[in-house]
Amino acid sequence: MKIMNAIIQVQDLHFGYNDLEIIQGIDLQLDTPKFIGIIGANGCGKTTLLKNISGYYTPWRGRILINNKNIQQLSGKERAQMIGFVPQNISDDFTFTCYDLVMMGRIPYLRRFQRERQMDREIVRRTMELTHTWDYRNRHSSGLSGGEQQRVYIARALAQQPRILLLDEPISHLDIKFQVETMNLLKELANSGILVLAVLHDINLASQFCDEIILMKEGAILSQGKSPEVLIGKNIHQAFAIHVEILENPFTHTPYIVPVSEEKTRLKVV
Amino acid sequence: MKLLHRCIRPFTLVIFLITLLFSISYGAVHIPFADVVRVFLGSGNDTDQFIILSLRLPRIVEAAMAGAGLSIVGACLQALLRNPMADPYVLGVSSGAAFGATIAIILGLGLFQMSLSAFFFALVTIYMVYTFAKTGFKVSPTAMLLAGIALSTFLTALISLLMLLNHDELSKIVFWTMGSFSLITWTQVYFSAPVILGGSLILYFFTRDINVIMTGEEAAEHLGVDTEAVKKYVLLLSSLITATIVSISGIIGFVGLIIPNISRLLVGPDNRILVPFSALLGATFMVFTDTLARLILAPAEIPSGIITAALGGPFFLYLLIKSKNKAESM
Repeated sequence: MKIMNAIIQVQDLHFGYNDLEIIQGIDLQLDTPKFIGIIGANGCGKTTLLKNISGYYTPWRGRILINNKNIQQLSGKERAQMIGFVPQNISDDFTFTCYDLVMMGRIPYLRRFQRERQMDREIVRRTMELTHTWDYRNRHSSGLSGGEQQRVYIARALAQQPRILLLDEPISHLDIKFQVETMNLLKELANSGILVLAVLHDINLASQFCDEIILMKEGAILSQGKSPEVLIGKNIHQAFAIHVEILENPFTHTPYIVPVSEEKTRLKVV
Repeated sequence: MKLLHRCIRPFTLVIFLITLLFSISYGAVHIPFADVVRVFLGSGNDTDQFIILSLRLPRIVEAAMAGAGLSIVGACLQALLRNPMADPYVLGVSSGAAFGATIAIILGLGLFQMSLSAFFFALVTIYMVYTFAKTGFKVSPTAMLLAGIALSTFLTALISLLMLLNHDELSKIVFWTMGSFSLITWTQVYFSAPVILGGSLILYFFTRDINVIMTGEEAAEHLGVDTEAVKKYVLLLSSLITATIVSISGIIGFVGLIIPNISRLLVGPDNRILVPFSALLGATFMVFTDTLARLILAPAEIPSGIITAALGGPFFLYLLIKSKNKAESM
């Protein structure tokens, strides 16, 4: 049966803050490790959905199953062993070294008084090499650039050895080089068997790199599938209220979106 | 730098032991080291024995415990509230205790009842701060800080009013507020030791969780740390420890603020190392200032709180300037 293989199952999810319902009935099933991008207008509930899937928020209604287990019934440690989360805002006023930060990813596997084992050190080293952060392991994260910091936090999430990696706008404040590097890294991770689910703002980068796109609008999923199926003019107009021309990226043959002016007439009036 | 890191801990331990020895030896009456050793071997003369075992040792032990306790609490709260300016009194514990002590003094109660009253009001205050700052199941650090400041201000106003209405007790109240170990006997040590030592030990068990919370509460939650539970336990233990110390020795300022900050400069931000090191440094500092308190105007005494604040204030300014320069150069 198909359901038996589902990694993430979202069933009739409702959630909101205070009295305001943000997520208004989402059903979602993700079966295979892929790189999936969630896109949508500001405030449509992308991040909220992500934090429901991670178990950080408790749904108002409906449930989230990870490997067929209700996320709300798992302990914090069990969750952290399956799901790595890279938050958008990272605070580090006290400046740990990068190595210490990544080592924190091993906490789900350690008992309260247990010291880090040789195995943990090896895993930390491997994830730091994979994310190209090993070279600055002894530097303080506050002295690093945004892109380097981002990679350290991805390394920390990977040190959790998760099956699922969730990222909240991982490339929003990076320059183009780090954006592409990060997207490439996420794609590699997906190829190596991790389900990567990232909230993204750059539709074109999402289109180019993601195996699948989830387009959200007002707390619901408008469209889901490969980028040529999802990124069509009608969908984009519905989700973002803008007019676009859809071109084809000549190298990857994925959709490439160019916004066009909505009301050309207004200029003439002025 | 590596060498400094490796040597700093044994070095501080040696300093601590030397300070202890000096503290036992010096005071209103100077007892030579040879006689100190003799007392501990059980062969000193009666006067020396009385001075050391009944007068000096209890206050040294209490001072060491208080210094260690305040520093541990300071380190944990700074990390938890993600604010290096936090100290054990930031949540209003000290004002609550001062209010309790003031009432006890005005009612003419004895020393033991005064400690009890201070302890009780310290706990009431922290409970109120916690209740005000709680929204649903979550406690916001910022809300706690603000509630602590607001309640402190209110209680301070009440204390001032009580002082104004009870002129005769004014000096007693002021003296209590400044903090001193001059009235310590073994009884207080026995009462406070389980809370301070036991509480500190349990706090130490939370240091790894606190480390993660320092990098963000949400991030900690995603690493499987039950942030709300950790915050609750750490705040509860911190309040208990602080209330115990304050109710016995009065409000000794700045120790819980500067010692963790100096320690962080010396051994780094990892609380698993920082917390025990702060304890050692705090104990050393407190025993040292208490010895000064006995020596400077001997045979009269200065409240220890004055000395810690006098040393701590300028140092705090130095830290401020240093962090400002660092921010500018970045």
